[in-house]
Amino acid sequence: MSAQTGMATPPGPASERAVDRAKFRILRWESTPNPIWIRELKQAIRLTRTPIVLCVLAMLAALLMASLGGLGAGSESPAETGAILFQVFFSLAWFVVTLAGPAVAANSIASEREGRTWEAVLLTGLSPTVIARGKLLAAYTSVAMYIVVLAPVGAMPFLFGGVSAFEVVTGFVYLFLIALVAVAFGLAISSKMESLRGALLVTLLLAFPLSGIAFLAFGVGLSYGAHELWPAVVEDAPVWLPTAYARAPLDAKYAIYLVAIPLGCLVIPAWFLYEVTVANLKSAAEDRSTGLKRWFLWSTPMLAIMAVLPQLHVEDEGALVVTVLSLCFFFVYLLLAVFLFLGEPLGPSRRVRIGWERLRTSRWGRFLGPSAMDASTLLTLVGLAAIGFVTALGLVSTSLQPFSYAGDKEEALEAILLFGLSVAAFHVLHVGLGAWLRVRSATPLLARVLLFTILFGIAIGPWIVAAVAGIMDRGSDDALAIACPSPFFAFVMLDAVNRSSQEGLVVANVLASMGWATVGLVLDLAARHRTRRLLAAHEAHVAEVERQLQN
Amino acid sequence: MNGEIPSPPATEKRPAIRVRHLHHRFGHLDALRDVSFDVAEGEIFGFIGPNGAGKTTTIRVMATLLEPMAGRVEIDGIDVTVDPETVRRSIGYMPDHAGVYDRITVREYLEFFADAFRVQSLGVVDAVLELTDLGRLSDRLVVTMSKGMKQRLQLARILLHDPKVLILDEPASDLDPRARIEIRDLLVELRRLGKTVFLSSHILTELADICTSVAILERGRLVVAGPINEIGAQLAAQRTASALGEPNRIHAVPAPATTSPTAYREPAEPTGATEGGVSPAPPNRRVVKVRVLGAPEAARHALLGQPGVLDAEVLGGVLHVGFFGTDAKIAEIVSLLVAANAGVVGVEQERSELERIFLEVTRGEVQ
Repeated sequence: MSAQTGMATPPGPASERAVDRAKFRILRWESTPNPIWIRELKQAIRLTRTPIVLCVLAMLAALLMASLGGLGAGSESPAETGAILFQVFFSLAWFVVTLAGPAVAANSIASEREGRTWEAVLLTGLSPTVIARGKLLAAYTSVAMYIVVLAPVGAMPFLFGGVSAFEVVTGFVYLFLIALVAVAFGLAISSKMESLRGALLVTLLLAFPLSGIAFLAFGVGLSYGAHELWPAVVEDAPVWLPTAYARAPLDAKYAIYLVAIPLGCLVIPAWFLYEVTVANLKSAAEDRSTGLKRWFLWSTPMLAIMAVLPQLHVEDEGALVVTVLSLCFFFVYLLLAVFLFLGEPLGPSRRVRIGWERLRTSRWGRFLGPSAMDASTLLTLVGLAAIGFVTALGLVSTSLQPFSYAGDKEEALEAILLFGLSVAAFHVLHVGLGAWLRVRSATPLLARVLLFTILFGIAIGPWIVAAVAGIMDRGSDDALAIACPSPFFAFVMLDAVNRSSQEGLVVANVLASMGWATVGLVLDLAARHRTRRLLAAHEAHVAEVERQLQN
Repeated sequence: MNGEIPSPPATEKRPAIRVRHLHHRFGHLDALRDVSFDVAEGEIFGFIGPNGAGKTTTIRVMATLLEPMAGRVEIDGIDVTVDPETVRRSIGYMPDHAGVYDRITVREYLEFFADAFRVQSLGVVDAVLELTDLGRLSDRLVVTMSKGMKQRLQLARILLHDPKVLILDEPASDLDPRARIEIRDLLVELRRLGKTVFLSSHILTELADICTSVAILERGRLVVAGPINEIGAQLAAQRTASALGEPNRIHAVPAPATTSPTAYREPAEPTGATEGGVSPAPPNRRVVKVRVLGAPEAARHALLGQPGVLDAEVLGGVLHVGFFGTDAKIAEIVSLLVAANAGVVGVEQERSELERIFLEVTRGEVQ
């Protein structure tokens, strides 16, 4: 029974069939919707400024579109004017959604904490997932209203032609999907912040540059690639995806570049942000790890597959470029994952362990639970598997390419192999160093700051030494090997592979990679040893307290 | 009011709240150090201490919002660390300075929490509105309510799922006198309904009015716990023993105790050692202040040696009489003074027993 809707909860399904269970879920969702969502909607209805803001936004957008349409109608053909208006509208809508979405969501959890209503909600027994979903739905409903209000304005290009209804509808579908990621982003920040102002400030400070960069990279930047693949797509036009959906032929490229990769690009970050929100809503004594580890476990292979798919459509040295770019992406992604999992506790809390015992959680389930060393193992294994997969596919793809000279192919294969080795070695270093710092630091924040500082020093330091020694000017000299400890040296190695006179640089890169991997492994072992000791001491203390309590 | 609310008898029943050897630390600060006490079912238990003493930390552990670094807390027999979800169903927690949602009516507010608590009956909201006397305000926006009414609404919220234990952190802070009285009366009513109330407050006189037992915390350490009258009597006995030159126990403090009679321990003794040997409860020592027209000293002499009268002293021209017994004894004292032609013009029961205890057992230290 829901007090808010006054509706009775439907009885459970009579059968265990998936269809019946799905029907029951839908009925239950209708009759007893998320209480937080309903309460937030009731509050939002009484916020008088919302309709005013929506009306003003719609009027401004309409005025802008009408002005541009009027100006364009004089000099351009109606179809061209319609296409320009389509681009302008969806570009504007992109910024509305990517800035308003996080701002609205940032308000939600931080305002509860600041208003001191948060603990009351927590103690109702609502799970963090239900709370996160309620907050997500509430913020998403608000942002969806912005899109709906803008919808009539988005139909204006039809007055001029040049765009199909399919393109406009696809554009709106993507706006709704992007809004989901935007809201999840704001919610993730809000879930960490104590004050409303702080949440809004941090969210907008991050949302402004990220929104602009994403617009330029995924919009303008990728439009050139899209034009290469499908000449019917106009290059330089930021809103190219709906046009590509409408004009690209239905084939494997369509499925990969217009369905699989865009969906992956939306689902993986949205899922990550959701798991971050849920983890932040849990107390330190609860299991904050499983959701994030599960996300990492699934998203890494998904990203690896997405990263190697373009190799199917490249020629000559394209496979080398795509593989190097994919490995660079994985280098950054895995480094971020190392920073993410530095927040892991050394071991599970008593509450978590008792929960495991009660639920008879499997070894695998426990492995995904809170533990810095298990996180380290997961990072190492999954990271190396992903790097190995991308490298192997790069090697296979390159070996299948018809190179003009056999020597070029061998050099490309060598370059991919060495670059992959370098990325793998640095990954092992990052994981080992991170684990060692985590177990040595009082707080995860300190470990993160120290790791960032050390890695920054490793990345930049050797180049400073090289510059001070005056070696940088002699770029072709083997003396540049002095910079081999830096991860950026891998790019020097890529260049050196092509030149037989610079084998020394290649050797230096291999040695540096092996050295860093060894350091990483040693640090990881040291961290494990210390963690075991600390956990044993903690266990002894708990046992002593238990003994006292028994007496 | 003390006389109106009988203390629940010391029974063998499982305590509603059981705290044992509770330790917690924030960085290098020991917020709680070996805190142990029990709260029996149906009690109104006062939790007292200066700012920074560790009251809120203890309460947050009890409310499952903080996992203790060591020790155990059980609510209704369930360990808060082991099964926080079940504990949350057994408690109603009202934090200090808790907020409420503004753009929502009183009824909508309670309906939201009823859904969040998964309360099955729609009638619960109406019942709680009636109990807390908020029925006439049910369609009013929360933003327009006074502080006192908002506190009342908070109390209504924590009653929705019918918890056995109510944990209230400074429920009367920032309230005007009328609102305080209303909240106090409501707590008494809740106790009559069988709820156990754990109450943290700085307002000692208010606690003395309604609490059956108290615990006093200072610098993260429990300095005393037990029924107010027993603690007061024990401290008086200590003073007497000290004055008579008996082994100096002035610095001894009553041990963490249940509602069973208070035991004593030296501060260095382990807490658990006091659970066994329990001394019999001393009689209830009370103090009445009497204003007389005649010479107060003469009136004092008339009372000294009378049965039940413990002591009498003149402070600022007012006669303070310590005695054992009920209100009938006060009437007897007045009769004695009238018989002695003392010219009684005013009788006032001293209600600051708790204040005296607090000042006596704490040292004003903060961390």
